[in-house]
Amino acid sequence: MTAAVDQRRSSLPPFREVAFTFPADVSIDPMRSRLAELFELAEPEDSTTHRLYVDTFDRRLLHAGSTLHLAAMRERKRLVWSAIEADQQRAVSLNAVPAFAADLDQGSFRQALEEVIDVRRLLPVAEVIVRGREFVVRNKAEKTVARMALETWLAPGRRRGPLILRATPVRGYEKPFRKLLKRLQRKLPTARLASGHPIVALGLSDTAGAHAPRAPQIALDPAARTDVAAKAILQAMQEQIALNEEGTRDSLDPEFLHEFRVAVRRTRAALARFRGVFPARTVERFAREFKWLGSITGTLRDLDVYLIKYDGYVEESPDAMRLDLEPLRAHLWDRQAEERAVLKRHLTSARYKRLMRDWAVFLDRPVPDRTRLRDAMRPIGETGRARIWKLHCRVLKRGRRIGRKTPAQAIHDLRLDCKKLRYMMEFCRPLFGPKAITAQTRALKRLQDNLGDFNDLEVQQGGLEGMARAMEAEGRAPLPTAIAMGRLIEGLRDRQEEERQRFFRRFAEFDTKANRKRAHSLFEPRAAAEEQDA
Amino acid sequence: MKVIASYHLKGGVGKTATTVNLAYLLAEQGARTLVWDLDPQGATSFYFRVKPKVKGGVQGLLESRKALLRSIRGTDYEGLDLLPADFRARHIDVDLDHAGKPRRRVGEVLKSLRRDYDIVLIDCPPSIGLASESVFRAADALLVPIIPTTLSLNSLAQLAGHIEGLRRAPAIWPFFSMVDARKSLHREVCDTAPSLPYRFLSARIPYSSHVERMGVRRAPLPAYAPSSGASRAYRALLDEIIQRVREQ
Repeated sequence: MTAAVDQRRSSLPPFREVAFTFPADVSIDPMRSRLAELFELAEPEDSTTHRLYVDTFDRRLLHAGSTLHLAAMRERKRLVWSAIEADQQRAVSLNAVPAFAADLDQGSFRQALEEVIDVRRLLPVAEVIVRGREFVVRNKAEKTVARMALETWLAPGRRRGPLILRATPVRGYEKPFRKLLKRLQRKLPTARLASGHPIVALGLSDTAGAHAPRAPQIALDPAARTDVAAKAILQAMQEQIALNEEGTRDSLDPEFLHEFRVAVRRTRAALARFRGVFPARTVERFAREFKWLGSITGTLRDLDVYLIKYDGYVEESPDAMRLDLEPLRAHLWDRQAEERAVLKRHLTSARYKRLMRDWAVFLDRPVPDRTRLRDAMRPIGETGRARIWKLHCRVLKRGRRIGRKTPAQAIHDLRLDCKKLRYMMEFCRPLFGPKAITAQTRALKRLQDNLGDFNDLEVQQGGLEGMARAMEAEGRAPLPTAIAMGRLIEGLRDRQEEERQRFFRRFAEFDTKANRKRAHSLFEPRAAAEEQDA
Repeated sequence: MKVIASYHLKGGVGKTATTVNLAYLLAEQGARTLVWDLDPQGATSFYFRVKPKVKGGVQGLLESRKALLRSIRGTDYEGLDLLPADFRARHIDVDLDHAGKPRRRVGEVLKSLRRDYDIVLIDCPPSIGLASESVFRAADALLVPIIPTTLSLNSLAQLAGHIEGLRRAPAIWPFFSMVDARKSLHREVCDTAPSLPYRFLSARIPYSSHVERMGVRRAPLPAYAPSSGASRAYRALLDEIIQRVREQ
């Protein structure tokens, strides 16, 4: 298997399929007769298949150099995973495309697929009809020594692809295969070696790639009015929300919900940071509504995270307890299905639609020429710096107060401040020199990673305790399961304690003289003004 | 990579049919499967229409990885490869001795293929010697087809006794093969299985003319008679084996 289809390197000598294409006017039947003249072939088998190509929203399979499709031929359906640049493929008999790798039976196919797509959902990419004839080349003992196939690819709404002739060797029969290739090249002068996979050649592979979430790109002019700049920032977030809305509503992949929530959180952070830029009543109303949007998406995200982490939980558990955790997984799946339905209702509700409509109207409305709002007309360069500086100082103050016995809540508050600071730094990034702001962001990120891990571990412990209680109430937690979950929670507590120990080092790395100096020159309003004057 | 060997002290008990049919069904399920035909008679190779010849002989592939890789043949079925038999394999015990560390040799040969296959099925020669001991050491489990007669059970006891004495012993998974439901002896022996000290697989392979025809068709049974009773029995057998492999 190749790197694409199997991550590990094979020790078998490579043997490759060779594909030829023909000019547009060559069609399948005359070519079939021609092949029959050239070789002693068994009666060809009609191999017309209907293929549904699938991939994750971020095209993990394609990036790994492979394609995955469900091939339906007469009654037979198979899930075929093939490498693009080599002829290797693996297949399993299956009636429908699985939504996730975890839907496949345990085994090497599933394991290898999981290594590439992880917990991503498989989504349809393209549908094609491959019309073809398959020929088998046999030796005197009637043993198959090579295979050939003539095919044309058809996709709805696209031009028919060229006629393709595939010649596939059988391992251990390289000599007859080489002979066959020589003969093909000599006798079929119009044949050209094909390059790339037909799915790529037909331009079908990248159509839905636009779904992939990306970081917002905002262009900011430091001299622009703050209200204008703030609207540009909020509009970028609005775009992110819209881009991920469908995938979130229809639960296409956990990543959509995650990106959706990030955009909502950033929107809320921006609204809070730009107080005094828009009318207070408007800000209050939208802040309330986006808070609601954050809260209705939280439960499902938590469940997604538990399921993503589930395999890790199993690995951390002692061997004897691994199976005992299964009821937890079943519980998570059930709850996830419930919450998906709840979220779908919310995202199709009148309240949600009204919020999105009013939000768009607000963002599209031009800013007033004159306003009494204190900060609206100040340049973004000034307001952005002032707010970042304020947050930066608050982070330092809060962080220095944290000791070995500080309650988790105080660390959580610090985490939220860091997040706000990070968002503001990202929004206002174009205001600063890229080198300095990148270095400053990196220092903050390391601290954030530690705080994030600490908080995740805290939340997971609480969540698992709650689930253990709920499962017990439902009679779904037999004693061994309760013990295994208890053990898991203990393990999380130990790791959380380790993160707390690590915090002091991370914070000290953030609170260095060099960092403070750089932050001062970047964000402190007077220092920044002086620098600009100079 | 899992290694399962089909083994019995005597021939004609359905050992080769088991290897060929299970291998076909495994490949059909998407497992990358290799069959190693260690029986110099080469019946497995015959069923797959592969010439029972290894360049350089069995000794070559025991000693050189290159020779081993060169010897593997694709069968007519996707995902199913064969390491063919060679008549010279009748001297395999001598070859193993020559190659050094004879009892570890089969395991070492297979180790070099672990990235390429999910499962290896070995069709063993019906004898006890260095070769079978080397296979026992490499295998995760031995499939032992038993014709339901008293004598067969005796030879199973002999085999179990022999394997118990080994340092690294594979699991023994016997199952009833060539069962003729019309014979009362067959029925009686089959019924005693739960009381025996072995982990019998519960699927029973019936005595069937379909199976006998494998030699004429030169193909695995499920490839030409997929819905026959015997094919169904092999499927049930495979399901149980997969279950046990997962439990291991």
